Amino acid sequence: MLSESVFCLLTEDLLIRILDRVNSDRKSLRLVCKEFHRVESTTRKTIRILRIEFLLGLLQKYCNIESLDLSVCPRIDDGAVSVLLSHGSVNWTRRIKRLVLSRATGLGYVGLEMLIRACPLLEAVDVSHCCGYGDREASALSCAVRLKELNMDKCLGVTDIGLAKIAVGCSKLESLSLKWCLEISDLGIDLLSKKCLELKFLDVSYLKVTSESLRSIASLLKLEVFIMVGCYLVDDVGLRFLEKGCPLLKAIDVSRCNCVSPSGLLSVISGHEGLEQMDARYCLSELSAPLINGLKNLNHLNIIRINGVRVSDFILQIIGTNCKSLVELGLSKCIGVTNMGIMQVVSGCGNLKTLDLTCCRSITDVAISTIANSCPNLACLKLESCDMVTEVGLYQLGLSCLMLEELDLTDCSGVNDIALKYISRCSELVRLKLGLCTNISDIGLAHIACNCTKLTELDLYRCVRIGDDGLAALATGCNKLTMLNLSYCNRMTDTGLKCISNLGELSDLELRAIPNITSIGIKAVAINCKRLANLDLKHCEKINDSGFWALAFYAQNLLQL
Amino acid sequence: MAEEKSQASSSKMLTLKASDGVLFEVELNIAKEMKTVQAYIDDCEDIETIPIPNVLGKHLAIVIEYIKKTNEEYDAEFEKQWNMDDLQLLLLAANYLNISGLQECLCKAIAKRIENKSPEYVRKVFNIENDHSPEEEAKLRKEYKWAFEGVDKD
Repeated sequence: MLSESVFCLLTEDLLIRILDRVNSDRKSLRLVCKEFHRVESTTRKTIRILRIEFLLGLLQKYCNIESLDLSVCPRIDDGAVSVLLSHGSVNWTRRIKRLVLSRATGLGYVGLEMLIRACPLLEAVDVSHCCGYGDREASALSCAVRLKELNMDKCLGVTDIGLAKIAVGCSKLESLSLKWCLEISDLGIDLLSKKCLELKFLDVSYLKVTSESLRSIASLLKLEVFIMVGCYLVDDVGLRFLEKGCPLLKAIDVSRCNCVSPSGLLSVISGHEGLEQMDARYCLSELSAPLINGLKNLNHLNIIRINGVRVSDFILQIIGTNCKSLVELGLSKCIGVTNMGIMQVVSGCGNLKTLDLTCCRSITDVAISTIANSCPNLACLKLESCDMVTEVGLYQLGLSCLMLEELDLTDCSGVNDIALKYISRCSELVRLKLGLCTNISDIGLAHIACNCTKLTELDLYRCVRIGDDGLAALATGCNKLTMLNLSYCNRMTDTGLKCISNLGELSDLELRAIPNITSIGIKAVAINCKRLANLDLKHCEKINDSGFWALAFYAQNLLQL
Repeated sequence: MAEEKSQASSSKMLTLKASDGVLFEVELNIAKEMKTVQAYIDDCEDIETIPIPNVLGKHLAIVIEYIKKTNEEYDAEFEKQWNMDDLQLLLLAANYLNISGLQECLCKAIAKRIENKSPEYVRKVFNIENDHSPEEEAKLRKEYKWAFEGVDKD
């Protein structure tokens, strides 16, 4: 045993390397000793401030941060920024590359401009959901000359004038998101396309732009991802402009564009055989023959989402034969999905990781078995309302798809306890939805609790046969649970709730209309579930004031009740 | 001398002398994994015994063993055998001898042992004293109150 600590011999750079490899939050290590504190302070690169009173002190200590997140820091406003920048040393601004100010509605254009001018290396800014932001704030943003990424979703006041300022000031922009900036029109987009030639990612969802905007956007030679969800004024004419433009286009999203038809989509496909991602959810009613033929050339497609469209076995066969690199297929609410069609598409697309068959009610166990046998890498399977699926199909799933992380069986009345036993073999499961599966009981839940230890989200909405025993098993086996929905599970009592209180990571809990729980149970949850943020207690008649007092006292993180 | 020069270089043996005088005969290609030793050889070609003044015999033995056996399985089991003092001394040795694979393995091992642990535990494990004054410590704890969630039981 050494008389002096060996730690004194470790050089600073070795300590830095050790701390760099610590995977958890390093905050508590600061308290170990002065050396740890100093090293941690100089090497920390990102920080997310939770309380404004610590802001100044923390920023003075962490002078090497590159990313500053003030989105959950209440009461950030121009005055606070002014104090921040005038007090003492402002070394902390010199390396900042990323600023997250999402929902920081208190900050106005004066403070924003001060902050931006103070950070010379700024490359990425997120001001999404600052709904009051307009052209003056856009003008402040345009001071960031090196800006590459900008997110202005829901900055409702920004008009073409503000966008023009940004286009002129930030010519190096590579990624721009303008969702819901309803005042922007074709003029703004045109100027953007002429000035920001480095753009790779552009999101104009829900804007009132017309096909003329697409004429301008087609000239963006480096554009790779183009998203225009809900642009109801754009039609096939616009998509035809894209056919010969944006040569590097890899991903397109025309979901919910009512005026787009298969012919418009075909134009985009014809020009871009390297397309990797195609989203056309809820906009087409069916796929025309030329469009289906066009799909044959898309050998690099990874993701296809065509929710709501009418398909056929033939169409699915074409996809299975030609789109061998397919990793994700979305057929939610599609008409005409049959067992045969599914079998044809999965036998060709063995690399599928995500398959969405929500409301494809004709699917039976035969299809599930084929999916299981053909797609061993399956990570996400959505079968909401596929009520003909039973334990027979799910047996195969539990046998072959051991990488499964997400499974949605909401409203699948064929699911019973045996089915849950088979599913529990998928030990990587993280999200499981069993809402409205009225045939499952505590026995089935115990199987899941035993083997699916990585579970973080579980939905048991209206699973009326679940009771305290099942919850006890759950609390022991699935201690990583963060979201739990037990609404209408009316057999539950305070005993069950006390078991739930052992889930230390729980942040979202829904307990609607559970008649037998009282304040005693709620108090246990309030004391022990320290991360509880969202709690739904509607129609729980027996909970009285003492329950709410306990919540007010103990639940420090509660955001919504 | 002439004999040794005519042998193939891969089977040439080298002697390393630890700080406490213990001698180790190693093959040249093993010794070359230690970049510091490599530099020594490059400078003086005919050297037979290389002094390693910063490393005890006990640790040099472990380092040589590591170089001979290293692979994924060995690495995973390797770090479990040593206490924190040895891990740190081995890290210092690996650092001095400039063996990047071993440095990486040891940094990860030490990091893993202090992840998610309370400051008191970390102090005990490294055998260091808390040099924050009580006022400083109280202030730090208040500032970083949220830092204590998610800490393992010791």
